[in-house]
Amino acid sequence: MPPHPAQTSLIFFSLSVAALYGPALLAAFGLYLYLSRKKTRLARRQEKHQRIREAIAARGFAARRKLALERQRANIRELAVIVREQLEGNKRRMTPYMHQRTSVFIEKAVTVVDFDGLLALHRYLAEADPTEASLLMDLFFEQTR
Amino acid sequence: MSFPEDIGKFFSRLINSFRGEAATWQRENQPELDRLKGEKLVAAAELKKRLEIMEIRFREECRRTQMEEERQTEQFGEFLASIDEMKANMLEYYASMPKPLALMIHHHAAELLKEAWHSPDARERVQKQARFTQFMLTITEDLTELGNGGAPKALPEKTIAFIRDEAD
Repeated sequence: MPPHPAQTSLIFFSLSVAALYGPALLAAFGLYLYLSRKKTRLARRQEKHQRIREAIAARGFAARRKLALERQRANIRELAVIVREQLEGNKRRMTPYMHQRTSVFIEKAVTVVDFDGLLALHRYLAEADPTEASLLMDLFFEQTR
Repeated sequence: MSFPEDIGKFFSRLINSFRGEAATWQRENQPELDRLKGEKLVAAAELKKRLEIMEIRFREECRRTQMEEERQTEQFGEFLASIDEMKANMLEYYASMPKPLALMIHHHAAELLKEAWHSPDARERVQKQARFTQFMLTITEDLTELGNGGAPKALPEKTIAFIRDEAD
């Protein structure tokens, strides 16, 4: 059975696309090869060593960042303990949802080292009227959103 | 003579003529070719030598960079330890001081240290370093005043004022 004209046209269309873009792609590849070959062995070696030096510096930077993060996390954990105590003190006056939400906020603050957020929560809990804990926490989360 | 034989002969004649031409050209230009070959060998030897020197220089540079990074990390760790120590001292000397305040001072110092160390701009880095040093000096000043038997204070006022200044 001879192929349907639509099938034939599909093949010819693909071939025409290849014929149109093929040379352009080949030319681009050739240009890339030409430009990359223009670099001398010395330049390539120099670039390689530059990359190695940058990698050493990046490793040092990452090590220092990790050190700082460890200390800051230990510090914020101490604050989280205080805030958790405040939260437990207000537990009876809060809805379970709000208690859960605040707990999650504390955990997240420790993970991302959001010290300012946690300190704000601590102040909020310290200064808030205990009888309106849930409502005030709602307000707090409205502000932090 | 058959057609394939003709074709064969034609090609063999063609190849022979090419080879003859190439041999003649090579004979005529032999001195030039020898000179180029010699130059190529010299250039290759020179390149090899330059690469070796470069390799030694780079190895040395890498070693120096590694040492510098290690030194910086060690120094950074020491600064972080001093911030921890400062927090412990504050909590010890200011007995009535709320713990979150000491934790906030610690956090502020750590943030300043990070900025002083990791700022990409060299001038900004120097400024931040000066700011960090100033902050640590202020804390020391507060603690020294307390240790020298001055009027007892409930809070490290100068340090708190410093942080307020930064916030404003």
